Amino acid sequence: MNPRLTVKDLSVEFDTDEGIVLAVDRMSFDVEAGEVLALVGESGCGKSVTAMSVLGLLPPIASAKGSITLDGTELRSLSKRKMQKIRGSDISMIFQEPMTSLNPSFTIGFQIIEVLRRHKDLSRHDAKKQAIELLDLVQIPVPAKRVDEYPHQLSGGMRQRVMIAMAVACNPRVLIADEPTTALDVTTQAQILEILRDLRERVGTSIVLITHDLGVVADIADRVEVMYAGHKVESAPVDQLFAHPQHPYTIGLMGAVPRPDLFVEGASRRLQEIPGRVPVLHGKPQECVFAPRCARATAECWTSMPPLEQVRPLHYAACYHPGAQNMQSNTLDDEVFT
Amino acid sequence: MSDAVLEVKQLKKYFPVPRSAGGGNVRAVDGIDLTIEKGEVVGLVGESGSGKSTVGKCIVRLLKPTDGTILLHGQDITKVSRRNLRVDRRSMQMVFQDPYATLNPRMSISDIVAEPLRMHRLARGPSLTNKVEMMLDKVGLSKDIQYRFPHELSGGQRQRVGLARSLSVDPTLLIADEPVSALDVSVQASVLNLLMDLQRDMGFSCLFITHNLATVELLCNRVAVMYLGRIVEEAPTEQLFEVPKHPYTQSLLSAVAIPDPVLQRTRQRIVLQGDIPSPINPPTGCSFHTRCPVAVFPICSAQEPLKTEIEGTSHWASCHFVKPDGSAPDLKAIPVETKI
Repeated sequence: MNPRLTVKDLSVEFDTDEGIVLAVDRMSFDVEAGEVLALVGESGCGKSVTAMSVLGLLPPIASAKGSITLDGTELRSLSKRKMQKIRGSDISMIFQEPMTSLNPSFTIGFQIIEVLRRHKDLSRHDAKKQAIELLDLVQIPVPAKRVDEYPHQLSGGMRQRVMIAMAVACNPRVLIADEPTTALDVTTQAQILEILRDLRERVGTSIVLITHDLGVVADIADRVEVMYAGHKVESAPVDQLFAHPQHPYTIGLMGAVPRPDLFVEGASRRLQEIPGRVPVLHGKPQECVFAPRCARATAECWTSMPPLEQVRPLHYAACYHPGAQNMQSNTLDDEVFT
Repeated sequence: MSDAVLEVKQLKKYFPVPRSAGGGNVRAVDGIDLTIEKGEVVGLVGESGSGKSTVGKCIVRLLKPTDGTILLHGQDITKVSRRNLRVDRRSMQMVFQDPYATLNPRMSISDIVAEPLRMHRLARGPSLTNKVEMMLDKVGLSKDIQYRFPHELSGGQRQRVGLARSLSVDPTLLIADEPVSALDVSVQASVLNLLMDLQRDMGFSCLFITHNLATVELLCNRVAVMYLGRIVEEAPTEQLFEVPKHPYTQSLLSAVAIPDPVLQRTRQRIVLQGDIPSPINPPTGCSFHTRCPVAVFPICSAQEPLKTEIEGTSHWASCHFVKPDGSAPDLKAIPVETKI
């Protein structure tokens, strides 16, 4: 099956005052039609930079290498004008902060119509009609009235839904959602996830979901790529990742999330900690990027960055000691995650 | 009667809306009662617009309450003068959400941690330095960090400094307003563990304000759930999670995404429609009736529900359909196909 979006060996460097910063190092992934791929990681892992690269929205101090193809078309070699045509119509994006991503000076109707008229040949009247339909699609009540309202008149959840409406207005083949629910309440998050799920089911939109929230990943992702310091460290179908995490960083991340549903009387309530901080890379790493923080690191780990290798069916990890391992006693424990 | 550290009675905080913008009041906190015993960790949970942060700020008098009383160690601090409040502020400290905004960028870490000690004249000279180093150690930071400035520290480190600062005066009550929400997941874990350890070690009472239910379950002895300025349910933690009574609590718990794809996708989810109503014009009767999947009219929109205490427990909820025998609406019993 030919994937819809293919990113191959994407590397992004930033030329900053403190020198070169390597934000993404040879990142590769595919997204199939109708699939939800989650890019998971914490601050500084390079997931947002990856997303911006796909859309061609990197700032001037960034330089990118590698290939990004959408249904066979190489995006990185397109002219600015051609890329502008694709942005918003074939690939679109929703951002984390709905308040700062919507223009406060224009009505939400205006902003949706702007997207529609830029990419489709529509009269103002028809565009407005479609805008109202889109607002209805994202479950905004009384859309005919709200279409003339300004962003400040809407709640955070509603603004995010307006952003989704703008992003899907032209039926994009790929939707990139960068932390779409992080700034929202948990009940609103549930609504937004429902809308995204609905989009995937009804229209077959591929979604690249960027998040650090493992609950959201468990809810909606088909496959997951875990990123750390600009590198992919683990890749697997979602159930496999949660049932058999291989990379110590992934295991650490899962252990760091409080789990009221797993509460056992008398068990320790301490959360798993990962000592240290995410490094800022100034060049290709000469050792495993996670070694400074890893309980399993051996001499080998300090000699080179481990390549991404298959560890289980469809499951890859960049680690010299992958596997579900009991971090305290350093013994292999197959039953750690059930 | 009790040796409660904090007793809040019918606290109200209204923010007036300028007449040009329509007039009226934002009823951020609309009559809440809360008690915190010695050494207890109470969670105050709610989403945006619930008023939970406003409660915290009223308690430490960063905001002046519109109405109600706040008793700290039995003394009413609601109307106390600012000068006298200084004494009370020693026993009551606060840590905030934004690690980048709560530390003065022009002060060194040692000055930041020393500030409350200096203000309350608790230490001077070498004993002050000692105390600062001790506090930094207590929060897991090396003592060399005292010479640095906030911009050189990560979010997690700054939050630890905030804790060192607040706890340096050995308060009996710590108000923690979303202390970890702005941090990465793995950093949250270490700060939460630290908070647990410090609380156990120093024995202070804590009001833990957050929207993150999972962290509440981890840290708190009791939980109060807020919606639109009011507490709708309160219970010992285990009971709130196992047998939530109020429809809002049930929806809230249901909305928490579990990091387990099999569980998350097969469990029954209650998805609330709509958004939280405006606190300027709260709904009549039960303020939750506009979104409640089991609201019955006219009672839910006409009458404000009273607190119903479940017999034999310290669990109560404000809902017309929660009875003293423990019976309550079961949102999971609604057929899944129904779009609520």
